[in-house]
Amino acid sequence: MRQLPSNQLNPKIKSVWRLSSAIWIIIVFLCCTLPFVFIGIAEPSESWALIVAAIEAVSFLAIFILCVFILPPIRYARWRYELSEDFIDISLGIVWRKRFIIPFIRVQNTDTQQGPVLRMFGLSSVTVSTAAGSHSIPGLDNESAEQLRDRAAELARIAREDV
Amino acid sequence: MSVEHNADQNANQVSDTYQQHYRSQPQPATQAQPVTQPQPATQPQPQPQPQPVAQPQPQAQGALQGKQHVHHSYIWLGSLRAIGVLVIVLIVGNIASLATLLREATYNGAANAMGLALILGLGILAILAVFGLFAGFTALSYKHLYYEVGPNEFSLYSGILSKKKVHVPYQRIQSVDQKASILQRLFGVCNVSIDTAGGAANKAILIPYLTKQAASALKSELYARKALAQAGYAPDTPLTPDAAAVQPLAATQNGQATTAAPTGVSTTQPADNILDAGEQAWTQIGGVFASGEVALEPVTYEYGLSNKELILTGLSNNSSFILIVAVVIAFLAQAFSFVLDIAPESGEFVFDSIATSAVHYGVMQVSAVLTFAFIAIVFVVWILSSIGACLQYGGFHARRRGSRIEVERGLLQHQSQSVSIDRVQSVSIKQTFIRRIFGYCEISLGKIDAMDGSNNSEQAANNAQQGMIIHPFVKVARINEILSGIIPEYADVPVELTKVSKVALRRGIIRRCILQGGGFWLAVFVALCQLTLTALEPFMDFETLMALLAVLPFVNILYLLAIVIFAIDIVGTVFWARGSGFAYNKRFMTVKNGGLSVNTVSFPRQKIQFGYTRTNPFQRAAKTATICAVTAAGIGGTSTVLFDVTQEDADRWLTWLEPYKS
Repeated sequence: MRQLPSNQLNPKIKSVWRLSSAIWIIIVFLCCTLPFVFIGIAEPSESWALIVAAIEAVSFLAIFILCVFILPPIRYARWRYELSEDFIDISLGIVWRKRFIIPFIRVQNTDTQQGPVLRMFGLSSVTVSTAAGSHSIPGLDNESAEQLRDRAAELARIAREDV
Repeated sequence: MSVEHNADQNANQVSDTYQQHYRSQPQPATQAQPVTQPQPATQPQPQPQPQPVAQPQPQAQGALQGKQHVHHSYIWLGSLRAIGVLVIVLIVGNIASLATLLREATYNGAANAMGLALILGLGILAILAVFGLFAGFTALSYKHLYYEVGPNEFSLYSGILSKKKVHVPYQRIQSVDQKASILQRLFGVCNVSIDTAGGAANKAILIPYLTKQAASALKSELYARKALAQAGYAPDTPLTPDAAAVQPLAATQNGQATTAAPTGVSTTQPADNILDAGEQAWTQIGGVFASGEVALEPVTYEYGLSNKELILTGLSNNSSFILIVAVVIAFLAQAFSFVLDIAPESGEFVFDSIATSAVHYGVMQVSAVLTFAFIAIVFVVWILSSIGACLQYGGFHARRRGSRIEVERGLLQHQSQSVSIDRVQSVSIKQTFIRRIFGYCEISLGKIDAMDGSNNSEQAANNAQQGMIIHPFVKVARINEILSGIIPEYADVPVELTKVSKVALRRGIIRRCILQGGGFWLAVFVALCQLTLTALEPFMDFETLMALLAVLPFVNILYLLAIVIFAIDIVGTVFWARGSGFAYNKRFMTVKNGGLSVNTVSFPRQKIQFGYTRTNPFQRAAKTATICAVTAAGIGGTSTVLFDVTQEDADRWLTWLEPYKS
């Protein structure tokens, strides 16, 4: 069995995942459930509406617990990367596990991104793009993100321009 | 011209040489001019620039300096096409009201006939008016559509109100391809598209309606300038700029206005077929505005299709297989229901007791007629699609010219494509089931495709999936010969396959026959429908029951179909597990996916953008993994996937993917 890559993401990424999935789940939950709640309140005779709302609430609670409390630590444990001299090695996935090898000389450009949630925790996500698709490493502290970007840019200069 | 001269001394020299070269074409119009001795670059051009388009071959005299308009057929041919579409739409849209009018006219006699004539006349007038308007509009946009071969970049200007400019630096140009519809061929014009380097979502630049001669002049000019630009920026590029820039001049000094260079062609003996005669006739007649073509680098390898290959290509094209399967199934179904008819007990259902034999007999007859009608239709469609494919590949020629591979094909709608050897992403050899039986295959090259500027994106996507076909139908034994001739760079692709894991067969049957198996899901679907109907049966009235009864034979046919598909899936999976595998050596990787049809893809290690392995829990339990190599071929990349190789092989492959330590 091949050795797993050595680096883990910044532990704060767990909070980022938790926060962003919590926000999404709550928004979707409200959109799906509020209409039924309104119907139930406005027309007390239509009791089914409240039942639907209750079922939705229960299932969303389950999803919420799964996505906010259970999955992030597992995902964090599985998400590993390593930047070696010439390539990026990424291993990720809980059920479907993937292992990527991306040579730096194929990288066409590198972007760093910071959404509001990431910025709150002082992290950035780095995206490396090749001619056939891109990969992002979500939670790097700003310093290693810079480093990664510089490395990719440097090696991309050496590589031939044509694909 | 003056702009050119102030800009770049290097580029200047080449373009001047080119001018001489163009002027030495054996055209009567140019023969009169003093041509051969090297002129100082600043010599004023004798031809007035303003209306170069009206002349039969503007490129031969003015070379490619300054603004170049496209051919004037852009105006009338373009509007003719648009009007054709408009007329068809109008007729189809108003067919009902036209019919009413006609009927009234025939009923009510002369007065209405007059009215009809009036309306028809008005209609024609309106169409003419629209044509005029459209032609005016196109003329206006023609006036604002021009291209320029500048010192550092190629520019295309278009747009009447909102101006659009596209600039392409020469070293970014990847290929210059031509395409001509049948109307365009009649008049000897074609559309030129310029492909640029770039990853996903890059667009080709389309220059419509250039005369063939202008197109090839532009093509050689752009290639030469590209070679020069590359030489200027990166002296050690593998392209040989000297050859690219100088050879073509030498090749045409003797005035032969042909594409094939007279010397240096040794190994070529293009096979001839019946449609090649037509193709040659096209080339000779050339169309109204065509004239001699500008030669390029010498060809080192070339082939066409033989009669047999061409016809078999047509007969065995992709749709054939589906059609033949359809016929077989229809035939089987007919035979099956015939058996049912003889022995009704075997196919008895709940409703059968209600059925009178007369109804049953009627159903049988109708279905027999339907089946034979279906078979006849399928046969006609097959013949038509075969002829279509033959025409599509008529005049097929693939050749190696310097560092580029060129393919041209199409008897009616002609297209010529080319790709630089550096840009070839993969070589794939495809055998559909029918071709496999005969021992033939199709060879195609994967290349990065640009979004075509045109609107038929579906066709473009289809083409991208196929890659650039360099031989549509070739005997398996000849593959090596052809590949070593046209693309010798791929000579040492690995052949010793690492087979898929032993459990791959079991997992493959689950995956291909059940999870993705059409037959299995068809059976499930039909069974579900039947269950629902049986459950609902007590609530139905007599007529619905009778209607259902008519459908009944088809239920059995569907089950039969499901079984047949399932059996085919299983056979295919067994073949897949036996014949699939992957191989790699220092420079190349090959992935072979077997089955009823076989697909072998080889690509250089350098062209792998990234690779990954993936596993699901079952694969981890069986100690296998799926490997996936992603190249940039097509639009937005192509992944080559092989399921269920052993874990160790997958790990070794990942290590191979890592760049060598420098």
